Amino acid sequence: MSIIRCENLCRVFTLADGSRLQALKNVNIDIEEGKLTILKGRSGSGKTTLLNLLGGLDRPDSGKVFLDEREIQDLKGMERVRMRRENIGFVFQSVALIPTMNARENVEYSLRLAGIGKGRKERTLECLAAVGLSERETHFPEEMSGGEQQRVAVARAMAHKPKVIFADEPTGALDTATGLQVIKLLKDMIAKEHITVVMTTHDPGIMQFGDAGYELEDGEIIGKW
Amino acid sequence: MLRFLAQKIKNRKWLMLCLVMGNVLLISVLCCITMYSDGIKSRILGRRMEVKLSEAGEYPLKLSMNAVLTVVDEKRHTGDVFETADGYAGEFLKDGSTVKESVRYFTISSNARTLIKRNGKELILPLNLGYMSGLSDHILITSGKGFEADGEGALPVIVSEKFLAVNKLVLGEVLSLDKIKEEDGSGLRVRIVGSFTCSDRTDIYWVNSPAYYDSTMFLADDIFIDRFVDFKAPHYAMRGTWHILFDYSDLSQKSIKNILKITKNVVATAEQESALTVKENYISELEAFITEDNKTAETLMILQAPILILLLAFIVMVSRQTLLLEQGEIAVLKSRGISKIRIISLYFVQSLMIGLMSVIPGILLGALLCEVLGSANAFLEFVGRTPLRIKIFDPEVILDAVLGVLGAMTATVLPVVFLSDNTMVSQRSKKKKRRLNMPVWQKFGLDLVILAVGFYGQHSFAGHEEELAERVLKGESLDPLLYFSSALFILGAGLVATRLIHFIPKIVFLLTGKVLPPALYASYTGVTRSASEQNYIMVFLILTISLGIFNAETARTINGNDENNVRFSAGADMILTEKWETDRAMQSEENEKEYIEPDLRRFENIENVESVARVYNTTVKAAYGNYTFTPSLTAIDTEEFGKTANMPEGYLDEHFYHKLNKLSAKANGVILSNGFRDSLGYKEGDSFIYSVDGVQVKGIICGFTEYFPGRPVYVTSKDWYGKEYVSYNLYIIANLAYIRTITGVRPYDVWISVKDSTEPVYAYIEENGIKTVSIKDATQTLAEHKNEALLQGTNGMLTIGFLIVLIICVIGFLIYWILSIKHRTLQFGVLRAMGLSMGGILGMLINEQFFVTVLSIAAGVFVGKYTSKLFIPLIQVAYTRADAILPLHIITDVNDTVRILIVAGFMVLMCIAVLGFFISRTGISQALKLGEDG
Repeated sequence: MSIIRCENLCRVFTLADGSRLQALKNVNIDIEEGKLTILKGRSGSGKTTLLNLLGGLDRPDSGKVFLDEREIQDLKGMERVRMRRENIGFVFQSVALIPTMNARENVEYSLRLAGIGKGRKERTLECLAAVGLSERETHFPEEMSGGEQQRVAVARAMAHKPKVIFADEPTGALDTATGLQVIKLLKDMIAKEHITVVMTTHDPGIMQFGDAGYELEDGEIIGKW
Repeated sequence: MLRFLAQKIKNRKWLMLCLVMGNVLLISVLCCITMYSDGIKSRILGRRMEVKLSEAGEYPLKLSMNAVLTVVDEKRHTGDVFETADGYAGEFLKDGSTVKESVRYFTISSNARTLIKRNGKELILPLNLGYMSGLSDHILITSGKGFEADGEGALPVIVSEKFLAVNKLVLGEVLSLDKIKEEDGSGLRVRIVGSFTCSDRTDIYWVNSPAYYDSTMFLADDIFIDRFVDFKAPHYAMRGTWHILFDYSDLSQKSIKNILKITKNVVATAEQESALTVKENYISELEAFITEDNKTAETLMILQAPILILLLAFIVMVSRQTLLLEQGEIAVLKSRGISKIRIISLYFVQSLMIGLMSVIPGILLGALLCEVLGSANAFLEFVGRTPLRIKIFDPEVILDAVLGVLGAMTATVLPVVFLSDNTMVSQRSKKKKRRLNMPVWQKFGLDLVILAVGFYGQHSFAGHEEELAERVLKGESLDPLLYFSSALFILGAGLVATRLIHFIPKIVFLLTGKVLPPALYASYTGVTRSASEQNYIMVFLILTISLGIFNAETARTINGNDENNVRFSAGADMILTEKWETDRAMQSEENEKEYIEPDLRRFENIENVESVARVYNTTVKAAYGNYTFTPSLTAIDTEEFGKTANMPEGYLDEHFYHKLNKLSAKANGVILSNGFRDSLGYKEGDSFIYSVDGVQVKGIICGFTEYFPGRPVYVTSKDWYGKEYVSYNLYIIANLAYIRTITGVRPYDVWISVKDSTEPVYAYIEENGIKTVSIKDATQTLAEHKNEALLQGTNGMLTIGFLIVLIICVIGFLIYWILSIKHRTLQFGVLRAMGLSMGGILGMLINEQFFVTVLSIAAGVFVGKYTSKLFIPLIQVAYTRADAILPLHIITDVNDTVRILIVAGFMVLMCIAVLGFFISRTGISQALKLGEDG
C-alpha cells in the first residue's frame, strides 16, 4: 500500500543570474508503507529537491503530492506546519541537532512540537536506547562524535512516531562503518515502529539496503527497482 | 594572497564598511581634540588679548629691551650685553609666524654734542644719530626727501616733524657731529634731507609716536649698521631699544612656550646685567593660560578616553563577527598548509588597508567634529560661533591619525591571533571548552574585582571634595585616577550586571521549563546555555547605554550647576541701578535729599521682560548682647521678588515662595540668614531689634534661610591681625513697604527677569536715555562661561561622545544580531522542518531579545544613573569656580534618557523587523541549504 506518492511534479528555480533551472521534470513516484525507499543520483540530479517537496518543506510549481492519499502541496501555513509536526520526521546530512540542547532534550523536542506531553520522558529514553545512546542522554551535540549525533538525529526523527521519515544523505558526512550503523538503525526502526523511510544517497554501497529505489538524473526518473 | 584578500573584502563589504566606520570614528575622535585645543587656544587667547588692548590701550603681547653700550676703551666696553640683547631679539624672530612686528632702534648718544654753524655762529645741540629698523616702510615724508636724497658731501638724515620744531632747524641744514669722527679726524657731517610722520596711525610699529623722536636724526639702516654697529669692538657709546610685538591671533602651544622660554632668559639676564632693562606685559598671563589650557586638554583627553575604548570594543566586535563567518575559510587555508603567521599577516594587511583608507576621511571628520566642539553651547545644543581656525594636516594631527590606525589595527588583528588556531578539527574541541567554561572574567570574578576597585576609587575621593576643589582653583586638573575609577566602575558594574542578568532566564526556565511552548523552550535553552556568546553584546550594550547616560548627566549637571550658580549669585537675570533725580524744590532743611521715584512699569513692558521687582539694599545696626554688628538689609516686595529673583528649586528646606509668603504676612516681619539662628541663637517668632537710619525697628522673625538670591552664605573678613577668617554672612530680608515708612523714598535696584535675550532692555535704555549707575547682566556672565575652552570643550566632547555612543550602539547591535542569525540559519531551518511555525521562530527571537537586549538596556540605564550619582559630584569639582555658592545638585534631563531609550527601542524593533524579514524570506529548504553551505 502506498503511503506517499506524487504526480507530474515540477520544480523550477530562478538562479541568481536570472536564468531558470528545471530541477524536477514531471516526476511520478509511489512509495510503499513500511519500506526503505532510496532516491539515488549524482549531486545536482534533483533528489534533495524531490525529498523537500515530498516532506512539505517546499512547494512544487506544478504536480501533486499525496500523503496517505491526502493532497499536501497546497496546505497553508499552520496546517502545513501541523502536518510536518505530526506525520513527518527529518534527518539531515549535516548534523542538525540544536546545539544548546542535550541529547535527551533534542529527542524530546520533537515530542514537544508534536504536542505530546504524556509519556514524553519514557518515549525519549526508549528512542535513545533504540539508537544505543542511553548513556549519552545528558551530552550536548558538540560533546559527541558525528556518528553519535546522527544517531540522536534518527532518535529525534522517530520519537513522535511519524508516518514517514525523510533522510537527506544521512550518511554523507560519516565514514563507511558509522554510515552503515545509521542505516541499520533506520532498518530496525522500520521493523519495530512500522515507519516508512525515504532517503537520498549517492553511495552505491548503501543502495543494497533499500527495499525499493528510484534513480534520478537531470530532474527526471531514469530508473526504478 | 592579495586576490584572496580583495575577494574577501568584496564578499563582506558590509562588515568591511563597519570596520572602516570604526576606524574613521576612532581617528576623528583622536584628531579632533588636538585640532580643537589648538584652534580654541588661538580663539580664546585672541579674544582675551583684544579685550586687553581695548581696555588698557597697550599692545597686549609686547617685549621691550633697553641696553646701554658704554665704551671706556677698546677692551672695556659692554658690547657683549648689547650683543646678547640683539641675540634674544633674533631668537624670537626665528619662529617667524609668532612675531607681528619687531623694531630695533639704536642711537649714538651719550653726550654727543652736535655742532652746527649758522650765520657764522656755532650752536651746540644735544642731538643723537640713530637708526630704526625698517623705518622707511612706515613713514610718510612730509617735506624734503627720504633716504634716497643726495647728502652733497654729508650723510643724508631724516627727522620727525617735531624734531624740526623743537630744535629750530630747517631742511637742508648740515650738522657736524664732533664726537663722531671721519677718517681724517674731522666731525661727521650730516644733512637733514627730509622730515616724516607715520604713514598709518594704527601701525603697531610705532610703539612710540614719531613725535617721541624729537632729538634723533635717522640714518638709513644699511649706512648706520655698516659704519657703527660692531659689538666686538665698538667705538661709540650707544643706546639700543628692541620692541618685539607678538601676533596674538595665531599662537600655538609650542610658540607660546617658546616665547615664554626666551622671555624668561631675557629677564634673567637683565637681572644680572645692569646695562640691560626689560619690560614685558605677558609672562604671567601666558603662564596662567598655559596652565588653564593644560587643564582643558587633560580634561578633554580623559573625557574622550571612554569613547575611544568603546570604539575599540566596537572594532573588536565587528572583527570577531567577521572572523566567525570566515572560520571556514581560515580552516581551508590552514588545511592547505598555510601557517598561522601568514594568516595573521593576511588580516594585518587587510586592517592596514582599511586603516589607510580611513585616514583622510577620519581627519576630515575630525575637523568637522572639532567645529562641533567649537560651537557647543550646552549638551546637545549648538550656536553659531566664528569657526575655529583648524590646522588639518598638522604633524600632531597626523600623529594622532597614525595612533588611531595602529589602535584599530590591534583591535582588528587581536581576535585573529586568538581565533586562528581553529582548524576544522580543533574547532570542535575548542567549542566544547568554550561552552563548559565560563569566560575568564566570570570564572575568576574579575568583574567583581574591577567593580570593587572602581568603588574604592570613588570612596577614596568622596569626602575630599573641598581639597580637590582647592587644587582645581589653583589651576591643577583633576586627578585622572578619579576618571579612571569612574570608567572602571562602569565596566565592573556592566560585567556584574551581565553576570546577574544571566540568572533571570535561568530561573524562569527552571520554573517553567516543563510547560513552555516549544518555541519558548528552544529560546530559553538558547538564552541560558549560550551565555558566553551573548556576553559580548550584553556588555557592549550596557557600556554604551550607561556611558551615554553618564555623559548626558555629567554635562547637564556641569552646565546646570554653573547656570544655577551664576543666576543665583547675581540674584536676577538683570539688575539695573538707575540714576535718580532729586527734587531740589523739595529739599528739606536737614539736607536730606528728596528723590523722585522713576516709573517702574516702564520696564515691565519691554520685550522679553517677564517681571520686575524693586530691591532696596542698605546696612543696618543690630546688637547682640554688648556686641554691635552691621548686617545688611534687603527690602523687597515679596510677590514681585518671588517672581523675579533666581532661586533654583531644591536648595531650600521649604519652597522659596513659602518663605516669602510668611514674610508678607507680617508688615514688620524679617527673614534672617541661617547664621543668626546657628551662631547667635535666634528663634522663629522672636523679635529682632535693629536700627535703620538711626531709627530703631522691631522686627518679628518669620523664618530663616540658608540661601537667598544674590547673597553668599559665608563671608571672608579679616581679624585684628589681618588674618582672614570665614564666617556666616548675616543678612536681613524685610518688607520694602515697611522699611519705606522709616527711610522714605530711596533709590533702589531694579531686578529684572528676562526670557531669552537681554538685548531689548539695553535697546530700551539707549532709546529712552535712561541714566544708569550700573547694569549687571547674568546672561552675559553665562555667555562668557560658555565661551570658555573647558566648558565649551566639555560640552562638545560629551555631546560627541553621546552621539557616537548612540551610533555605534545601533550599528554594533544590528551587526551582532544579523550575523548571529545568519549563523543560525541552519538551526532555524531544522526547527521549521520539524514543525516550528514562522510565528514560533519570531517568538523565539523576541524572547531572546528580551533577555539579552531589553534587560541589558535596563541594566545600562541603571548603571549609568548609579555611576552618575557616585561620580558626578566628584568630577564636577573640575569645573569649580571660586564664586560658586550653591552646593552641587545632580541635574538630569529626562529627555536624555528618553532619547537613549527611543534609539534603543527603535534599534530593537528594527532588529526584529530585519531578522523577521530575513527569516521569512528564506524558505526552509533554502535555509537548510544555506546552513549546510555555511
